[in-house]
Amino acid sequence: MTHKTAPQSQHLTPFVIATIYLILAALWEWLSGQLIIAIQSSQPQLQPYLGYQDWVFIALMALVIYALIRYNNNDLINVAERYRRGRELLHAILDSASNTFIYVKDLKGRYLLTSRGYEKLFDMTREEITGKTVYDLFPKDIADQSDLHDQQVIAQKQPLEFQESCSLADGLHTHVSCKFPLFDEQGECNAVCGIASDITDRIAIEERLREREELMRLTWENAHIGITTVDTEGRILTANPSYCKLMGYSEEELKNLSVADLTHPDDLPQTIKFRDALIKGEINRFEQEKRNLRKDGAIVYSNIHVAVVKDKEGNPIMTLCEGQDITQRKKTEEQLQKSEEILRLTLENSSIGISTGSLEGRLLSANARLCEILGYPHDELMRTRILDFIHPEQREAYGVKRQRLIEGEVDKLDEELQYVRKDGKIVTGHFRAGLVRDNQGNPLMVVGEIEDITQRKVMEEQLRRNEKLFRLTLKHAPIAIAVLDTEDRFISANPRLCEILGYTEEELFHMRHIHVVHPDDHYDIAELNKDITEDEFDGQGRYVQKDGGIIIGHIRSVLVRDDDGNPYIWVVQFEDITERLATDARLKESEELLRKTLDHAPIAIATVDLYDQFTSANPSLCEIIGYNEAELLKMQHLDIIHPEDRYDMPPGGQFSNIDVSSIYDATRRYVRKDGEIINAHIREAWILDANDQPQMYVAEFEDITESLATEAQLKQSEGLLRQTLTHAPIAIATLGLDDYFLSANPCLCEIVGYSEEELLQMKQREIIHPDDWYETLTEEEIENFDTGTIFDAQRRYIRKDGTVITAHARAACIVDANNKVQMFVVEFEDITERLAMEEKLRKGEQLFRLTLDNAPIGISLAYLTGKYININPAYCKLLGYTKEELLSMSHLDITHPDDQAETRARSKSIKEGKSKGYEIEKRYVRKDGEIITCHTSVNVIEGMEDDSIIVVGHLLDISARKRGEQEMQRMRTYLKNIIDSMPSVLVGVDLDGHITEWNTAAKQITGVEPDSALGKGFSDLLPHLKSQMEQVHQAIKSGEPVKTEKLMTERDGETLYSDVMVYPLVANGAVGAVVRVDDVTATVRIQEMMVQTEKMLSVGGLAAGMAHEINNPLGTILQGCQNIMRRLSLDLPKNREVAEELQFDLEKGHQYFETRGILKFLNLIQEAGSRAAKIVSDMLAFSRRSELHFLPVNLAEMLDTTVELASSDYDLKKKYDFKQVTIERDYDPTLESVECDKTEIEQVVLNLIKNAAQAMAENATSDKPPKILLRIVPEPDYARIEVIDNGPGMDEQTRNRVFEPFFTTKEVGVGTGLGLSVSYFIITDQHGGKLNVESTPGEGTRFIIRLPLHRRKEEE
Amino acid sequence: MNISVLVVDDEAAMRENLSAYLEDEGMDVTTIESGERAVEHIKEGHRYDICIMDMRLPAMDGNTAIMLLHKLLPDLQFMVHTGSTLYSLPMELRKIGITDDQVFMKPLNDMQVLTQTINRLLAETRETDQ
Repeated sequence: MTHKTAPQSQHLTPFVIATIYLILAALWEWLSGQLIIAIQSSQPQLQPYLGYQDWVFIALMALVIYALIRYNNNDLINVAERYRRGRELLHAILDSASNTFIYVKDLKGRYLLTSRGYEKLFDMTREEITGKTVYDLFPKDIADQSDLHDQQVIAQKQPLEFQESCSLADGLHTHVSCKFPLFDEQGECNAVCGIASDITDRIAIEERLREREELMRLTWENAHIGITTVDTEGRILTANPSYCKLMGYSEEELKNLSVADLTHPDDLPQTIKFRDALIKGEINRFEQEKRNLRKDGAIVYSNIHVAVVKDKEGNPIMTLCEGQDITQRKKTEEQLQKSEEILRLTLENSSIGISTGSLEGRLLSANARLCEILGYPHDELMRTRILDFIHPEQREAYGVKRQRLIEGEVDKLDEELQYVRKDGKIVTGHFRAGLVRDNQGNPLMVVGEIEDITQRKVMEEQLRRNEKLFRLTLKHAPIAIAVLDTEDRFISANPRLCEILGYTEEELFHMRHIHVVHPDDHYDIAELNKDITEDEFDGQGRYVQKDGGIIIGHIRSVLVRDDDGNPYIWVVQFEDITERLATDARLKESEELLRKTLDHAPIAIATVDLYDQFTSANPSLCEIIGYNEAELLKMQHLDIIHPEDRYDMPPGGQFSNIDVSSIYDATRRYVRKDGEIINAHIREAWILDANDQPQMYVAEFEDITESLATEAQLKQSEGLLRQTLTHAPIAIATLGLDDYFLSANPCLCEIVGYSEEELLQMKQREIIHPDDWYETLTEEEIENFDTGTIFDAQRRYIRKDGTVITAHARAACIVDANNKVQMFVVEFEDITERLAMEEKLRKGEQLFRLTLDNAPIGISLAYLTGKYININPAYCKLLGYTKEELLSMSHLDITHPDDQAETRARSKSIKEGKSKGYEIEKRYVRKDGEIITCHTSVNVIEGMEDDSIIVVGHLLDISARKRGEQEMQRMRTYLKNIIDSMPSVLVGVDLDGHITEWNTAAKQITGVEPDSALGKGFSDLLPHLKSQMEQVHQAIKSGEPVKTEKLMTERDGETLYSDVMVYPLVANGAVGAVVRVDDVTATVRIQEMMVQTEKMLSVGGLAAGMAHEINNPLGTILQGCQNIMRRLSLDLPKNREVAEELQFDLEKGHQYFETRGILKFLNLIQEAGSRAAKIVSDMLAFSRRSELHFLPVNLAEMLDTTVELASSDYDLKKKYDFKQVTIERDYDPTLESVECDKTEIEQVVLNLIKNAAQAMAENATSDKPPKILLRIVPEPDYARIEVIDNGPGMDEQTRNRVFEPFFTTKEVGVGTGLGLSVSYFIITDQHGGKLNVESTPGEGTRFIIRLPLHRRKEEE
Repeated sequence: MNISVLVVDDEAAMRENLSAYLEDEGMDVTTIESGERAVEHIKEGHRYDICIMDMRLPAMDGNTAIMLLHKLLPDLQFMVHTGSTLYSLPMELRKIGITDDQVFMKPLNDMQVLTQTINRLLAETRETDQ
């Protein structure tokens, strides 16, 4: 855009021209003058020539000037106009550039020219903008930038491009501004022109594109799944990093490979098939689970999704394949399978009986162990009801509990049940059961475990009994007994001991035994701890009672060792001998006194037995009588009595009638050894035995001179002694040095079973068990005998009746005044019973202990507070602690924190007396931190007299079982889901036909819930498959699956076809089969239809060829008949005309034809011809496809119209009256119209109705009025029209052939045999629908038309 | 004047039957056994109101014959008589004004339809003429 300078300055004014002219003229004149002067000076004759030149010059100049003026004038006239036009043109050009701003600025930045855009931009007219600078219009920063750019352009004198931003009303805009300098004629820059284009939108679009591309790239590269693009030939085009990683190739390597190289050969055909279909456009995408070959040869399982990428024309250019590595999943699946197998084996080989039972109480499964426990063969077991195994007494209760479990009132069953084995034996089982639910949470079955605990129960019972016995024995034993641990601490003390010591058992518990021993006697009574090397300890000493009283105790302790021979406990028998010692002491004292008295008393005393024999005589007597005692003892009393004073002796010592209570008092004369007679006052008193029978008498001799008082005192004292001896509860006897019994008190007699008389004839030795004989003391020994010695021995004695008793005998010497041993006093204590008791206790305890130690379950004895008293090794092992560690812990310490609350609550309940124990499943924390689940049962030990509550706890580790149960449950659910998701009906059945498995598909076809199906009869639930039980047996027998194809069954009157596969199941000893049923009705129907259609089409083809050939002769026949009949008729005038001509009596002739039946024959010919024509036309219908008119048809209206048509078809010849038929209608109102060819369908329905009416008419019976039910039923894809009659129906053979062309049951001539074939053809071939027939002979027939609601495109 | 009808059929029996019936109805009937002959016959100058044409004829078929006859006698009305029940009126015949109700399938149970159609066709022609 060149900018011209002002035109004024470029043109010469006339004034200037004139001036130039004058100057030139002057110059010319001057020059000429000079020349003339020069010439004149040389050639003065040339003067006229010079004047001529002058004129020429002037003329030339005038011409030049004129031309100049002329030229300039033209310029002046046009310049303004041109300038205006140029400016307008410029503006027009500027304004036509849309979205572009064009401007011209002078060097000072003032706008000279702007495009229209500026007006809009600044809302000013162009004139207003002109002259303003950029600073006037834009903010300073933008103006600065623009100005700077302008300056650059000016400086560099060349076009430059800039990107300039400016914020406008609607945001920041970016412009690309091209600026260039403008030059004037001199080539000086005098303006700047700029063209600015708004590129804001373009930049935004570019930005978005870039972002999207970046996103795509990131997606591609970071996709977790492998993505590849593959061309249509199967070659890899690109692959993303994930895919490369998956396949182990680099992308470059992959590009040289094809799908075939990467696919496992077995999966390749399918992949290729899918890909072909994809590329051909038959499918849009596919999904395949396939194996890929990695570079390293490994197989990678992947699930691929492949989609096709098409160009604009819709041609496939490549496929996009996304693959996900599912190798891990595959492996997991395999592992699952493996683990399932293991699980199954585990169950099968479990030592616990495991079963699943149906909700109705049928066994569904049982493992081998269960069969073993119950003693049934597996199949027999499976046939028996669960309740039948339960002991009759528990059956009802169990049934109730089971029901509660099923109804969800309890989570599980856990109890001991008595089972009746097949052989009638009763076994006790620990039964635990849980409910298995299906995915919907409905109860499915009961899983039960039975642990045979008969043995354990018996043992427990034994143990309990023994223990009870043991405890009761201890409790009621008259002897005080305690059990001490090896640390001298009381573990238990029986009531007797407590009574003696004045402590309660609880107080005694863990108290050291030595604490109750008197401090001064610690030497005598040792601490019964481990330091004692002997296994027995026997000691006597003082014991301190709780109240401070002191008693003397005799203890006999026996150390009980455990199986390993280690000291275990001390059993201590404690005897309070305070009393006895006192008695002994008193007796001794009194005897001593007596002896001394006797020996030293001036009174002579002797004892005389019932045979009047002296049994003793004191020194005084000896002195008085002069005989020594030994002599006297050999004598009878009478021997020393003066003969005159002798009394009468009763014979044989029979003193039964004497008054034993009296003391005989007499004064007699006695004859001394030396013959001297002395007078003595004698007093005789009887010593009685326990039965108040006289034993002997004591005779007291007194010198007459002796005082009566002394005499009496002695007598009294002696009596007392006797009485004491006689009535003492302790068996006491005196033994002579020769071991003969000298006396025996009633208690002894009772013990040994001999009377005292008998005993007195016997030596002690005779009643001692030979093994326990002791050596008789020799004289010498007796001489030197330490009279202080007390013999203490435990011996066995033989009673008179032969029984052996054990007695503890203690013997002390009786010395005479000279301290010589005279005899022995022996005290017997029968300890037989005590020993037996001890033995029994020991045995019982041993048994108890062994039981505990060897029990496989953890058993603990603890206080209710949780403090352990004792625990068995199994318990320790279970929890990983040593026994010592556990004894210092509480039960709660090892209880899982979450279960502590419940344990406390249970303990509380026991403490409050509300329960006697509990059984729970709880978790324990082992020493190593592992958590185990145990079945814990806690029971209070009864029979403890004190307030402490001791509980015995049984722990059974069921962790593994728990996990197993869960795994089993999970696996079962998993399998169940698979089974349920199968479209086939899967029914498990046992040999007896009981349902053992029932999947969802089975539920759907029968409507029977799996829960109620299980255990029911196969034939009851699936009556139509009843016949398959035979196949079940066959399959089981052969071990091979048995398949029945297209089994025809009937349900709800409809014929169904099923493929039935029976798989034998002879696993786990369970015999049964799985029956798989696939409904192939649709397939079979299609096949049938195809066959039928095929037939129709062939008929159609044949008919088309034949039709013309037949129709022509038929035409002749029919039209010929018509002509004949017309020409015979009386009505046609021409007939009369011709007859008259021939003089033929037409009336007569007609009569003749009538009479001879000629007209009738003609009629018959015509009818036959018509029928033949109908056959041909029907056959042709098969190939007639083109004339159908599909329009929406209201089926209800159409049916009604057809019924009207049919009712007008009253036809005597066809022998039925449609008016007799009742028409019932059952139209579903929701189905409005269906697209079909109304005429064709009408024809079909009419055909069916007429058929029905005819069939019913032929078999009309009075009791069943003919009835046709018309029904319209909507189905998902079809409109169903049913024509149902109550006619005679048809047998299966007929039904199968009913659609065959030319098949008819009607008598010859009644039907064409094509009606139903044509109907079939119309419905199936022309309408794409279905036509079926169902019929039960004697009940009726139902034709079912199904017209598709949505016709397919190609059929339209 | 009686209605004149030309019957073209290769079967003599058919020709006889049709002519007998139509004559009884008071029409003048001529019968010809082939298409070629019919064309010749018209070329010879015979004129008819109606032509009943069999479709399946030896040599020249009915279709061609109609087309030729129509060219010769544009006013001639045609009735198509065919033994093929599958027959459907071809486009060219429709173009010269022949409609479906001028088509008769053999065998005709009652030839009364022929009389009715002939009367109707001629009535229509008269209407258009007027």
